[in-house]
Amino acid sequence: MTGYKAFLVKELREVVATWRLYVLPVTLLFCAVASPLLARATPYLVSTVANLQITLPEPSTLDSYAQWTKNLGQVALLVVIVSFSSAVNGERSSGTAAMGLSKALTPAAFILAKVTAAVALVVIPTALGTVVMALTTRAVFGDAPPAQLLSATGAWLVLAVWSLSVVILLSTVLDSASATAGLGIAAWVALSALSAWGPAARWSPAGLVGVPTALGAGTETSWAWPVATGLVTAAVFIVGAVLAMRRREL
Amino acid sequence: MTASVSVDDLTKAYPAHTAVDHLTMSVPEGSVFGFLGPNGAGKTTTVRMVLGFARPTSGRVSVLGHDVGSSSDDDLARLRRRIGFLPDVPGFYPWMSATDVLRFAGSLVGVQGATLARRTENLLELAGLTHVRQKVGGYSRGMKQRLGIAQALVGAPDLLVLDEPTSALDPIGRKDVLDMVAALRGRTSVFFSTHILSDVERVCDQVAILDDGHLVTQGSVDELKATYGGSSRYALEVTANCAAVRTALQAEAWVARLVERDSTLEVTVTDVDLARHRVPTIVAGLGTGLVRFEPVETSLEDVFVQLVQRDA
Repeated sequence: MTGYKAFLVKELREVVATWRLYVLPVTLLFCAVASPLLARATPYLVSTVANLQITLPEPSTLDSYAQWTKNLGQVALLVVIVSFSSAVNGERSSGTAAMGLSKALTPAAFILAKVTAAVALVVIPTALGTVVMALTTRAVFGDAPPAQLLSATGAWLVLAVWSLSVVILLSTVLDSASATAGLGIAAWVALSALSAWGPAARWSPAGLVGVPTALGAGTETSWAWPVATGLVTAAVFIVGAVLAMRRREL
Repeated sequence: MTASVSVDDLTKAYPAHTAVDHLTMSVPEGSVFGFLGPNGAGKTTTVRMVLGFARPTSGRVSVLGHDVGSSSDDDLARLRRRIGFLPDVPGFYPWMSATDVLRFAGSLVGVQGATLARRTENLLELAGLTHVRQKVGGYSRGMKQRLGIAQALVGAPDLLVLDEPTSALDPIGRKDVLDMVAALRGRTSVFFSTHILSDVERVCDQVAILDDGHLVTQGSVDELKATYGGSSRYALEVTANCAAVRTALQAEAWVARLVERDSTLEVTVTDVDLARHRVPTIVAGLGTGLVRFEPVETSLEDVFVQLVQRDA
């Protein structure tokens, strides 16, 4: 697997040199700041906007965490899917893949460097976002127990890596970035639909859709199988991407 | 002589057409090898198979002694460290500077530290990009082409594969590139794919002509000229009555081709001895004076047009 290190350095420099540096981190920071504020304001918004004379329970830290995981599972995941939809086919169509692969860069090193940089781009801003989220929650609610926040965010990270691996595989197989994004979103919708079926939610990656919210809310949930099967299937998708890259003619 | 590239009965067939059809040829070590053909002849497909980017339908490609088809990914990567490649449309990351491109290319082929810094500096100078501060995304096609050649040379390759390297360059840029290619003769084997005949005539010592996926011929430029040109083409200039001379010559069975250029007739003949006797007689018979009747030196273009037209 030669050329991995040199290509990874290029990938990381590319993150810093292009728009990619800003989109996901800004989205995550926005979610980190907005989630506690939205959780705090929800009772007021419901009674004012809907003009209902009802008394809602006082919002808590758990509501803030639930809002955070909900935002991660919708907005941030969509940004992840769209951001990486041209990861491989974009390099093929622009001719940069051929320039790299004409030197001592193997297809496996090409894909694995892409995956490593993409995971880093998701994990690091998520970690920063989690810290900001904890600080904002503490400022708004006076408390921010870390265990539930970390476990919920960790479970979401597994879902993000799973989605990322699907997008990298699609981007290797398909020539169009928009088709990749479309099918990536379709895979996410299919996973969400599948999560409504009990056995799938308990034993397959489909469970990853609901696990972060449940963990954030402090609800008892079986997370081990969804996390384990999520990581295994993500690895299978990445191996599939490597094999597809080896077979593709340039 | 050892071959840097050896192609044996190579075929690449797609569902709709056969791009390369049972091609056999070899690039001698240290030579500048011109790979000629009209657009769509199969040159780029052959280059892709030589580099291992496309799998042959059948046949075998050997590069620098390694069988490309049976090499593992790591073996192929090691082989590519010894190959410099410039595609017809080089792709660069638009956010990189020329220095970034050369450092990245060097790091991929295992050139590091002071050696990489020195080569980067020398190649930037060679490409005329030393003082360019803008990112590659803002480069003209010619600048990208020059940078493409520089990145192909960063690993000091044993084999340089150039796919249409001068097509986007102005005359000065083209001269620079051809001078650079010529300077590599004897040290680096150059596989020079192009449709620009004058470039090949200027720098290549071996030529293969491809048409419609078939090898039409291979040999040195001089051999091809001698074989396909010979002394069968003559320039004929008369004092007057050029149209009548032309009509009279067209009626002769030994005249294969007749082209009028300015006031000169270019006559390709099938029987040189007969032509030498008959042309002065015909001209004199029409009451016209003969200004000149002399052999025309055959160019590679003549050979190319003759072979490709005959083949078509």
